[in-house]
Amino acid sequence: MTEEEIEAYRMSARAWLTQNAEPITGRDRWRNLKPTSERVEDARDWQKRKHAAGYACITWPKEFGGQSGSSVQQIIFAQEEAGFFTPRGVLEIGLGMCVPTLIQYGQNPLRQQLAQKAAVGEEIWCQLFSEPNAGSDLAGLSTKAEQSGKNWRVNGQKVWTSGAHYSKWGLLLARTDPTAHKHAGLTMFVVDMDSPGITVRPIRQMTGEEDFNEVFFTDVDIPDHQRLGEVGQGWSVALTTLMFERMSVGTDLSFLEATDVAKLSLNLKINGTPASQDQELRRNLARWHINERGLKILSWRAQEMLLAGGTPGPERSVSKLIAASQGQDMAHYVLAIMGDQAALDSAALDASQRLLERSWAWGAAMRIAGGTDEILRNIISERVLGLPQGPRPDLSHKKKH
Amino acid sequence: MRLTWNDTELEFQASIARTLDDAHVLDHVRALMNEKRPDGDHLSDKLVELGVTEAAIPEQNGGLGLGYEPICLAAFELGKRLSPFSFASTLGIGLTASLLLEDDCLANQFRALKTRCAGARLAHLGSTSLSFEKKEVCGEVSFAWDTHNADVVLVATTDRSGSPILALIELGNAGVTHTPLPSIDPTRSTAKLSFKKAPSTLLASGDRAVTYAETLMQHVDLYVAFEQIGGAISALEMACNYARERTAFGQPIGAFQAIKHRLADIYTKNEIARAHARYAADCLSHGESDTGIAVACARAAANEAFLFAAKESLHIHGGIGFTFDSDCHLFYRRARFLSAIGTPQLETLEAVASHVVTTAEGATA
Repeated sequence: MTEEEIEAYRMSARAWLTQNAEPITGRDRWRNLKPTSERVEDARDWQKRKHAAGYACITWPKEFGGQSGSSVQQIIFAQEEAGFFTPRGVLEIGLGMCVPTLIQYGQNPLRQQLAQKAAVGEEIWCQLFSEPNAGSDLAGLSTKAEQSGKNWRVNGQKVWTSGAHYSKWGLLLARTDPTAHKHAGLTMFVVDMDSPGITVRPIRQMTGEEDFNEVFFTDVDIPDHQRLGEVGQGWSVALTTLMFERMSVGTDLSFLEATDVAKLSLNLKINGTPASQDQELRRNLARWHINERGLKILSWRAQEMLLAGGTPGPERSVSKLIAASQGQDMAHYVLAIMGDQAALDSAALDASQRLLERSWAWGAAMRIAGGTDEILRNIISERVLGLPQGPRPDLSHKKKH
Repeated sequence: MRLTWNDTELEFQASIARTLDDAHVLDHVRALMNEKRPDGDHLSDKLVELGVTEAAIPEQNGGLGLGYEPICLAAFELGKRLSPFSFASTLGIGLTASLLLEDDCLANQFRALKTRCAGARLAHLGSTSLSFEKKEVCGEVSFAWDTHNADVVLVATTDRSGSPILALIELGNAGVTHTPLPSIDPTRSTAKLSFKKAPSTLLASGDRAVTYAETLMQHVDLYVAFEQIGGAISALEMACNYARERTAFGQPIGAFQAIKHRLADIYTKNEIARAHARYAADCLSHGESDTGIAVACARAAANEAFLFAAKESLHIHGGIGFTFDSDCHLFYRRARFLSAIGTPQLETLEAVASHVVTTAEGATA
């Protein structure tokens, strides 16, 4: 695309968004923090409208419900959409990770049908990877899929499955060969979440909300044509899914930002003096701002590299590693200034403090979800800095699972 | 906005890297450290040959017209090898001042690096201990850096009427006393400069003097930031190499998470600093209104990155890191030295804090 074409595309995207959504003005950034499960219908509706206007799944081929557009167009639209209140966090797992994996490894007509329905927001997807005994050590999972005729029969349990209760399809990583080495015995499937034998049980989180689920499989049959990739190739298919996750640069965790803390501090006092004048707080505000602004620049740089046809680096690992801890730390810092008020539930507090509450709770969650702090540091040190892996008793003798 | 480097810049960087590698800069620094003396004119000719000084000069003045990015990359490559060259002061103050003033005579001296500029803070125009009358300067600059072979220094002061003044003083002139101070990094010099009716050249006065002084400090801070990031990246590389080679308890120490996670933390701080510095270079080259806060963030992030990398790199080296023969202390010293020149650390942080609080006040008003 030429500069002019890019600018024209941006302008028409912005014009459409202005007509169809409400711009974010900064002052009320935290207003739209409804739990994900309450945003499902909004998300479906928004996706349908985006699709009708030609802005849904821009890079997917037309035959799969996309626009056969370029990643340049996709990034431009995402940049513009970020400036508006739109229902987020419901469809991203499916459209960003699961369906792209389906498109890459699936067979027609299945993949065509499913991709088209996902693109218009009709069917939602979830990712069935983690298990009670396989989180950071994902390849140690034990949900079994055994071949029986033309079907695979699945038994086992998944956990932390976001949106399983409103998903029609799941991307399931299961063990098909318990005698093979752990990474070699896995296979990827697409599973209909309405299949007999599947039980979805919501997990009540410490916040009282229910975003994740346990998913139990008891003799669930999956037809062989819903297998993605070869038998035993599941680990490399899963890595592709995680690569798609990395391509979705720019994660906004909707945590406190330094300016939010500064705003809160305008109404707080430390030893009788306005907190916003406190030297220690000010130095922390500076350090937090430097981190969040640095992450924004890194994400702009990653977009610039994608636009130029390059591949993003480890920005996402760096970003989540910093942002999750910082969100939690900021909340703790403000709570300390609040004194006895810190003992109160946010229901008793000002609306502006809901963002504080979110950072306090979800800062803790996001240090675990999508790669723990420890796993991210392993990724950075081993894949970027080239440091050796620690002892891996599970790999040293090619131990069977 | 452009946050990646273009091919011209990358080629430029590669040629600087090759030349500096051939010049064995770090060996030279080790020798200087052993003799506890600052640099002579080790790299001047090479930097001129490479076109570092020509890069930012507009094409109509016979320069390369490449903006400030190549200078930043040169500062980065010099910083990586702990170059003792007075880069931020000579290019950031001397050359930049001649460009701002469009002073060809001054520019020619700095283009060929025949003149070296000492580093001195150009701030607090109202509360300076210097006085300026009839183009003569009295008083002192209590801390200047890169002074041992400097020919000139720029000072910011006010005249009798209280109007801001930016003036250049030749250090060889009568009335100038140069008192060396012991530097924590003996390869970089520090001194007190005293003036007793020292003759000076008036460069700018009034608002122009204030604006120029601010701009010059932005250049100094950004070039120092690039030197710091270069140093931080070398300190990390050195620590990674050591962690891969050194074994304990039957494996390379880099396989232990206590070590590798520390290295990952150095990396993340370096990445944040790099991102800021690149953004600030873009702002500076295009004269963006965001330049002040962008440079402050870049400088603060670079201070943090190099100080952290140097101290943790030394730690990862174990006892060897505390010996004089190890390079660790060269980095540890340089990190401390660089953090102390230009805008002071806490003032840089306060500039960022003030930006955050002002934004918050604006949003709630």
